[in-house]
Amino acid sequence: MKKQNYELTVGWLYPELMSTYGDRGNIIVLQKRIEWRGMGVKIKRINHDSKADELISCDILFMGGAQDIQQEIVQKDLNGTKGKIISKLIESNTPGLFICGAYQFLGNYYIDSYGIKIPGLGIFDMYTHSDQAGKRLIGNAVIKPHQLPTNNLKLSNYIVGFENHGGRTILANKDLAFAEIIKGYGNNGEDTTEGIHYKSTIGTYLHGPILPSNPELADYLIENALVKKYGKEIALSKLDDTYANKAKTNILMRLKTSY
Amino acid sequence: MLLFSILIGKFASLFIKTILNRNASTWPGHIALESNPDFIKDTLSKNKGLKIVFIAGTNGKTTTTKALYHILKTNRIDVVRNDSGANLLNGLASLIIKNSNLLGKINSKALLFEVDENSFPLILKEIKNPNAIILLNLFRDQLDRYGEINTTSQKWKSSLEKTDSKTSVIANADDPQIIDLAKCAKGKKIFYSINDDLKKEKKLSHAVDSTNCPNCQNKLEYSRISYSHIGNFSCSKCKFKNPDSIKLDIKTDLYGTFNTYNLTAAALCAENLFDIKRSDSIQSLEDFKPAFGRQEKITYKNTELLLLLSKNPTGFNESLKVAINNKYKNLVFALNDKIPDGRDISWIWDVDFELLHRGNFHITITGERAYDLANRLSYAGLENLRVYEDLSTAIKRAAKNTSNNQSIAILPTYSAMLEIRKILTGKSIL
Repeated sequence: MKKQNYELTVGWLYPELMSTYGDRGNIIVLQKRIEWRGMGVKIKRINHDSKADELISCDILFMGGAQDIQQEIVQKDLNGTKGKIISKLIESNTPGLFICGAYQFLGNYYIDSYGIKIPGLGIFDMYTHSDQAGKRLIGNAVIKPHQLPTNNLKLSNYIVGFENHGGRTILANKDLAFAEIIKGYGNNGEDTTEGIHYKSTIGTYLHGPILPSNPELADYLIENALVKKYGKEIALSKLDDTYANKAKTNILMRLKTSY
Repeated sequence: MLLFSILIGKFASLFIKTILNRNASTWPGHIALESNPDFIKDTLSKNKGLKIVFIAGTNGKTTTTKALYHILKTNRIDVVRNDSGANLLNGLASLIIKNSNLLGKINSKALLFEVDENSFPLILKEIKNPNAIILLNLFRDQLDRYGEINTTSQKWKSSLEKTDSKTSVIANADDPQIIDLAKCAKGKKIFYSINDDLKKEKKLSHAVDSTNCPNCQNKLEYSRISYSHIGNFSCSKCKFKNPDSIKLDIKTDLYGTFNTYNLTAAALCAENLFDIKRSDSIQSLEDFKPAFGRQEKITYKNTELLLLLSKNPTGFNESLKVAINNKYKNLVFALNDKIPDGRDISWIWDVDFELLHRGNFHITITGERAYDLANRLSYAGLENLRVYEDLSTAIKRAAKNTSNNQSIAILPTYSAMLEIRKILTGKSIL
């Protein structure tokens, strides 16, 4: 099969409501990196007024962070059919990337600053609580992804990004953490874990946005999407990532992480 | 006590200016507030006749403050204002120290103060009833420092609710969140807008935040857009829409519809607080020049440079349009991530660099995060980028590569703008 016969659909969940920290960058990078490999790509914008079954044809899922008011609207919408479809897709190895507020949604529950427990989608075995003192965890972050036998992640390098979150996330099983925090706070500022890696889906607090700064992670999602859709591994051609690599080296040097 | 605070403040100011050769726009106030936390309240209680105006919003504070200052000066009203950037409590205290005698008497009719978004509630705590507050706009800006705009708006709301009928509010009639905020104040409200034929955008840009109805969260429908979420809108559910507003025929050399809004706000404040006729304000604004770094033209090695301070997605998008619409072919983008710029640079992905597809531009990228910005531009499909992290090298190379009688537009973040100005003029301003 020729490259131009492959086509991937990226489902962008709530592009208007959940898009605060330059999240669009993740979509642009996925789109371009698929296009530059000569493959077809469709970006499907899923809003709260979109039909739930539009999700079914998505090969990669992405959802960014947002402000509280917007999150309430999304929360209500996800409790319906859309949440169930997202769960089914992730369980059957559709790759996804969920940042910050979106990452929290996929856990079992969230305890807000008034102590009220808000149920999540229960896809990730974790919960999040807001900090008693209201302290946000803000700053540049460096993390080292775990290599797990259950995933085919081949990331030898560090991942860099910027975190800015009030929530503290506790994983039921720390072995499922996406990465170990090297610089910054991570899931809760205490147990050195960052994010979650469940099946082919990653939840993380890192924006920056994460994919432009770490193109290897974008390729990981693309590769997995191709495996899922076409049932075989399709080698991705190498792209010129000079700028991204230089930017990453600079921030690693500044944060004194040996590269 | 007051005498003591002013004395040490003035002494500090003298020391900073003569010994350190720096502009004394924050430290004297900081020291005075350390010695007397009620310094601001105490001094202003001795100046009952002084009219106080606060200027708040994400973009356009400095320009609006300077425009109002210019109108008042031209119309022979004694007025003082803060330096751009000195817009926290210590900046206000420094402004008072600089302009008062040892008894705390300020010899001016008006005090204009542009207020930082985070400091607005703190400053309204010190001065509960300024004579007027100008509310310009709210855009996402430096989320690591200011938080999300709903958070800012919530804080402002509770502060504005505490003002009484003495405080007039001059508010942007085309920003949904600003209208909602203005309604919280108890005093007179003056809403301003610009003529419909200036509202030319065809669709909402990507990085818009306030497109949901502040009353019922329903999505607003826009019939005309000036820029970002600023425009004519209505809510089909609860009927929330733009209030009746005043529009002026402003004549200016300044670029951008955003400046028409800024100048209109200044003219209406001058009318309401100082009885200056609209026509007089409009006339005095004809030769108005904004503050440094804001559409400032500097000649460097025979090349004309236009500085367009661009510090958040909306500001950057508007600067890009100014550069494109005015046929600038040579562009320099300077991205720093120091504290005044915001440490988080993810907002560059909310800027519509894709707009540059329309023309053949020579692009130079510089600043501490130059490579991140180059990465952003390469994903926008822009090629032949010249990247130099060092600002001085970038400016020199860009000037060298610019052919005769062509000019360069520079779009820097805040600290990059200050550094570039220093490179170009040889002296620092702040």
